[in-house]
Amino acid sequence: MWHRSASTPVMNPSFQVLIKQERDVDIILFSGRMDANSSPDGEEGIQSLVRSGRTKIVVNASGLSYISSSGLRVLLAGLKLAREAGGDIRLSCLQPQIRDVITMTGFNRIFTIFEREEEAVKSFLS
Amino acid sequence: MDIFGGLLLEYAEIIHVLFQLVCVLSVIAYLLSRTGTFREVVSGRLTWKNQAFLVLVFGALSVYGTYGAIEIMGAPVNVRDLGPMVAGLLGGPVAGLGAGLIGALYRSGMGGFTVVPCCLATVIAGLLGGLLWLYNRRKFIGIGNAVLFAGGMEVLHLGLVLLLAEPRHDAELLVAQIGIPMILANAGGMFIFAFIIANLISEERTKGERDTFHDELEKKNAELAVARRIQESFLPARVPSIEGFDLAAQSIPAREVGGDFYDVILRDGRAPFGLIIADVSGKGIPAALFMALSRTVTRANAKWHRDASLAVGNANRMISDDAPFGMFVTLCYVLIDPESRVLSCVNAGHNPPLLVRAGGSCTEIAPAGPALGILPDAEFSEERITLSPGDLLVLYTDGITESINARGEEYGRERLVDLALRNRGRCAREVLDLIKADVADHAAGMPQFDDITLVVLKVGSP
Repeated sequence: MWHRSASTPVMNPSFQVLIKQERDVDIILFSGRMDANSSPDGEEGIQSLVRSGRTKIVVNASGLSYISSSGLRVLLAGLKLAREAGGDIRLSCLQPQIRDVITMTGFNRIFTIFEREEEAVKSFLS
Repeated sequence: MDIFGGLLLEYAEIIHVLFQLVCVLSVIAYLLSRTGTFREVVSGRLTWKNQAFLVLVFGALSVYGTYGAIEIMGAPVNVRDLGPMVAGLLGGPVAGLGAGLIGALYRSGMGGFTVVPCCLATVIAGLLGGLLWLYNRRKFIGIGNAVLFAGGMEVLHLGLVLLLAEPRHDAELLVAQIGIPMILANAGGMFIFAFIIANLISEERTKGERDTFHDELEKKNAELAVARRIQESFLPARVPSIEGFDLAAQSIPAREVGGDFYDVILRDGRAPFGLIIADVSGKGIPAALFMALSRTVTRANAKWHRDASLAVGNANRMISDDAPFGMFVTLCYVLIDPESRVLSCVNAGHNPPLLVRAGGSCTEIAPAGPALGILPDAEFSEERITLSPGDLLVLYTDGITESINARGEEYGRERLVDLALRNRGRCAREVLDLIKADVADHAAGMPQFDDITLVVLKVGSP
């Protein structure tokens, strides 16, 4: 079941971070606008997972309507952390406008991207 | 009427009178708390003048506490000890002793069989209060402790009566009668004073913290203003004029400092000149610091390498080495040969620049490589286009297209393309100002969320 990340206070009503576990994979669901004001919530969500040793992370971006460069920075910082710890962050369910930004900035070349959340989870398990 | 009923009535009357006394004390305490001297004392400024103030005021209070008492078997039930106790707790032994002596002097003039223990108790009350103040490192001991002290002091007072007053039998009778009302009245009076003092102390502390915070904020703002000036010095002081071209550029940070920048790279004579527009991830000070690094690295590489893709590739390697916390920068580098009018563009993950042709078509120069700082070994290809007179090149950052209005609608690429197309006949500065005004119009009073940067180049007639 989805639950709120314990370390993430609800500071921005326009952005939510939810987390669920599937075996040793953590799925983090971002919804709303991930901009300079809200992305620290997302950063804390990812970093608290990596800190507690959970480094196989799938981002479900199905509810994400906007991502600014601050949001991209949070994803990249998380990716670097996770990979250093032997894990990875994989993206799934990108809305067209999010996919456009990811493609424009070349983030599609460093992130593995899946259409659906289950595929991303499966890629960790196999 | 039995004895029990009579005693109850007597008690009720004593408490009633003492209660009136306490009410008067509350008013006095409140008025005192409004005086500057009292506030000074509370915040620890114990000058001789302030101590004298305590002695006189609380000495007078001690007198009033005696004067306003009721007499039972010739012994006044009173709150005489209260003033000296408060003076001591607030101002130390000197203030307490002074106030106590005034109270005791007045009491001694009244006589009665308890005169000696009563006078003694009042002096001891002031002295003990002062010693407690000393013991608590020259600070007020707090509400609870003060009330306990007042109660304990009255027990001591009554003990002295039992010990020193003659005849012994009368003393015992008196203490039995007034003991509890005395303790309650003095403890209650002390609560009132202690409560007001504790409030004043926390008020003064809050005020102090607020002032400190305010000072720090002012210092930070001054520092930010300096940071802004330093950052502005990283941008070209004025846009250079280039023969055969019309150039305008402007950057407006959303906060004091920002992460956008632009640059113009000039070389000797009619060698190709470069235009750079860039957007660092994030906002504010972190972005500004990373902007300083990125700007220096790209400028150095652009000056050094004649080849645009090589310059960007090298800059990317250097920035990747130094990029902390996932910082990155999207950048577009345009190199233009003024002789052949051939434009070479390397777009590193940046919003595609618009090329509006004099004939009325519009093309975008799409990214040919990732943003700088994310892939150290990335290769960047360049796009070559031959410009014609009347062509308009618009470089912008996402602060333009992602500017939102109150309904959350983005300004968007379409509006920008449309505006550029309709105004392609105008000069660079006019086009830039029109875009700026249109974006501000769209946002209609909403705060600027992101840094906004525009570089507009118009190709002149040969």
